[in-house]
Amino acid sequence: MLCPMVYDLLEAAERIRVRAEGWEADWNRLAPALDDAIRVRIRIGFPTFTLASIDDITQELLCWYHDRATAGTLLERWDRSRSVVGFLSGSVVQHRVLDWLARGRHPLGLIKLGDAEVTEWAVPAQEVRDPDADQHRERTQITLSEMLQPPWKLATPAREVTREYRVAGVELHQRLDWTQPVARRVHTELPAFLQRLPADTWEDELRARLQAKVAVLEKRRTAAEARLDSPIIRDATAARSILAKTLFQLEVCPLEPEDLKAMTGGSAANAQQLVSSYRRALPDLVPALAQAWAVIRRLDAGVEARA
Amino acid sequence: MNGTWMATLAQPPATADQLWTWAGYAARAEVLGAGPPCRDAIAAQVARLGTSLDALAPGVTTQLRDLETASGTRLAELLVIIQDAALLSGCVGDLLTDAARRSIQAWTEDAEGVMLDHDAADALDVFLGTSPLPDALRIGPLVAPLPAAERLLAIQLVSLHLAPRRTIMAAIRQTTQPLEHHMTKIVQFAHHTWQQILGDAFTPPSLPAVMAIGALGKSDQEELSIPRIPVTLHLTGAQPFKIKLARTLHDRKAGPDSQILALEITSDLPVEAVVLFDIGDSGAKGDFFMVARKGEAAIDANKLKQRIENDDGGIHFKRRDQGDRAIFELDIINDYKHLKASDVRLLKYGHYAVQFKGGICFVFDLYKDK
Repeated sequence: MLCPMVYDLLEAAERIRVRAEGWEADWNRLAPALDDAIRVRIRIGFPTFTLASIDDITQELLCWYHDRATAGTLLERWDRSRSVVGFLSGSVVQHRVLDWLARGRHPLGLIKLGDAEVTEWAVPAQEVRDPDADQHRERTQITLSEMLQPPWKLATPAREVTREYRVAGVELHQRLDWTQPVARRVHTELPAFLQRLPADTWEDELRARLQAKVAVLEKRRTAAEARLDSPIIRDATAARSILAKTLFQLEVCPLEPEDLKAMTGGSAANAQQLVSSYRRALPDLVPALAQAWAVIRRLDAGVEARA
Repeated sequence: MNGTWMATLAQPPATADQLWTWAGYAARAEVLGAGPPCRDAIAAQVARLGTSLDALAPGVTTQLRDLETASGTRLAELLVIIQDAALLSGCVGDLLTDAARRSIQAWTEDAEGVMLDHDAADALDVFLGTSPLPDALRIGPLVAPLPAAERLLAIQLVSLHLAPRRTIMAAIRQTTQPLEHHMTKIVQFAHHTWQQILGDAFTPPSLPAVMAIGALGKSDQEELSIPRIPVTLHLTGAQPFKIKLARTLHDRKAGPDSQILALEITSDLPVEAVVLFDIGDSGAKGDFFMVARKGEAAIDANKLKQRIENDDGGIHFKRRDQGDRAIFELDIINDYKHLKASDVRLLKYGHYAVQFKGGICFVFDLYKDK
């Protein structure tokens, strides 16, 4: 037996779904419950967000929902067996947070230091592994740009150097600190790993391949940047996505599976698997990225839990 | 997900149940230049099977029920179904009823909210490797598939990359760096929704929008000693848009109380009106600030526009063209004889509203620091 409030929302949702006469009043009943649920979801995912930020995202999402309800596209896939509030406040909320961040209006983990707000992306206070609260203040000022400043160090592997480390040695060849003992171990294994490259010139060939890939990605980046200014919002949005992916590739995975295939001599499927497992392991391989990913992992937990 | 679709397409659908998928493949093939124009072929199959695509849409909706909870290759498959439906709607939209088109639109919008995991992103990359659809025709998640975790980092990389020209704060700071010590409370800009609002302003049917700047406050002494404060905002992510404001307090030689407050505006968009509200309300942020914070700019911009046009409590600046420049002047002596000399300074503070052609409103506050 459903409680009256839940039943009331279900009825309201059904009327919104079919845009029954007076559905706007039903929307006004549903919206507050939805507003609460969205806020809770944002707070869980991004506990450092300011109230104003949460307001922004929530309002934005509710406005979008209202537009969709008006157009009759909001609850097309919803059925009465599901909580309408749950249906509308699921992973879409996280997605909207990312969109909101992508538009660059707000840095991630906006935190307060005294009266001033830190305006750069920073590791939220609770993610900083520093037991000394007095030191917190300085530690929270670590910014992403500082974190990602190469050369990067590799994490010490628990046992032997795995294939993910070898791929890291290839993909991050221009970013790693090769004086580090772990990196040196990886380096010694690369000639065998890249068995299709000549043993005496493998490093030069790898660099050349990387430079060629980077050149292609740079072109893509430039093209995407030019489209950011498109007056067509859809085009600008697509450009932002492409730019994000391109920069990510430039930063951590400029080579593609076919490059690995050509250099290692493995099958296409094997090369795909190599790149895939390397990308999944990245936060564990590179401490700088692990720190940058600290927040992301919490966000991603919701996604991974479904898998 | 990829391997057999061309083979499936080569065979006409055996049953009505297969028609939707087949039609989607046909639309995809046409877009990829791998098949003939699909409209006639689909119409022929519809006629042959004695059914309609509309009748099949509810079945697809059912198929997509678990879009939010699916992951990995299953999620990728569902997104490809939606992608094909979007292509289908583009190719044979006229064969579909409003209800069916609305269903496809709903699926596409729902897809916008999907978070990809690694497996799903990998599967979509593989799909796009064999079906390289043009960006413009891809649904959101297929434009540049990235797992949620990587996307968040990528977004931050974009922010870093574009930081100098991307944020309003950065733009203002860059322009006004020499004067930055005179500007306070710039962080308030962080609460506003500039880019969204500016984007909306260019979306037909041309919703008016408010762009609110929190405050450019300075002490009285400093203000009088700095006659011009240029602010250039170059926003990206939407139509390039520049505003340059120069606020000048001219002395008029006619007499000791004669002064003109001039607002010089250089902008990509023609300025239609400049209005000053709430004279002397130096400390209050007022309604405009709240309007922007609530993200209800589109609605309240209408009210603001009405307020500007209806002369509701505002003091209108007079336009004076100087070559390609537009100077908006407030002649204190001629128009506001009731004001005392001591009011002149206060006159500079308050809420300024600038209305551009197309209904876009630009609002900024000037007030004293406390």
